[in-house]
Amino acid sequence: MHAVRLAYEVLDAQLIDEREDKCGRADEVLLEVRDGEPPRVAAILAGGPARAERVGRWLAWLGRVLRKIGRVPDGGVSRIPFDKVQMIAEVVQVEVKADELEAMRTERWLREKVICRIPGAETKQDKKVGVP
Amino acid sequence: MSATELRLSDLTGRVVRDVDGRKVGRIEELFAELEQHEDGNDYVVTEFHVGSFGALETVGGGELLRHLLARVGRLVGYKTYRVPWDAMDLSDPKRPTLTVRREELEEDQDREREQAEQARAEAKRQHEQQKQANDQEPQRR
Repeated sequence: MHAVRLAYEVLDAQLIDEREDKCGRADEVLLEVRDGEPPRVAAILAGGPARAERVGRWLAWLGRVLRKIGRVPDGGVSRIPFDKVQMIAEVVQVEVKADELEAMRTERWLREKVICRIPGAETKQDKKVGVP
Repeated sequence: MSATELRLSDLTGRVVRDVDGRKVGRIEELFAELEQHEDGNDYVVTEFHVGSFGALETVGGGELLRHLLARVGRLVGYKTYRVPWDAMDLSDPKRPTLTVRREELEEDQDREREQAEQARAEAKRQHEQQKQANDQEPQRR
């Protein structure tokens, strides 16, 4: 059976949802250490704060301060259970919807408050339904 | 049964010592395999790779780079240990410790390497026999 290399194949890998839309990166992998049993791969964490924690707590703190100054909502962290992983290849496909992930909160905010106000901007949904 | 959660990035790069307190290397990679049971399937960690290059194995994940590292490693005396999950004590994640001595790991790996070489030699011998048989077949006709 193919063994998954967690640090090389999963950590930092691009995540795509069930519709193959990009939904962030695997910023952290959580392991559950159990007595007398092999450690279980419990979940993937996606979201800026999870990555910032990896770099250092100071970066997480700096991110919070900058968001407060810019009045940008806190970037959430999404915990995706590992049993939702459907495929591990060049990307990691997970059985979730990108729009429902906390980690996409900042991106949603940017899309609604900034990108959509740019003249000529059209969203993916507009393209799908053919809004001019 | 108690269970604690650990971050992968907290483990990779940690120095691993054996039961005698001697440094073995740093955790470079964790291998996980699918475990099937009644409640569903889980990925569980089966093996830890511990080596002296630290994160270099992760960085050099591509096949070409891995082979290159293996060659360079042979020149500079780099050694990597494949540690089964039950030989790694993670009760203190900041100080992962082996439950065996370093020599035992080396012996196991030497034994596995010998077995792999024997299997490779046997496969090569069978392949050559098959090739000879195939070459002789048209001559008979």
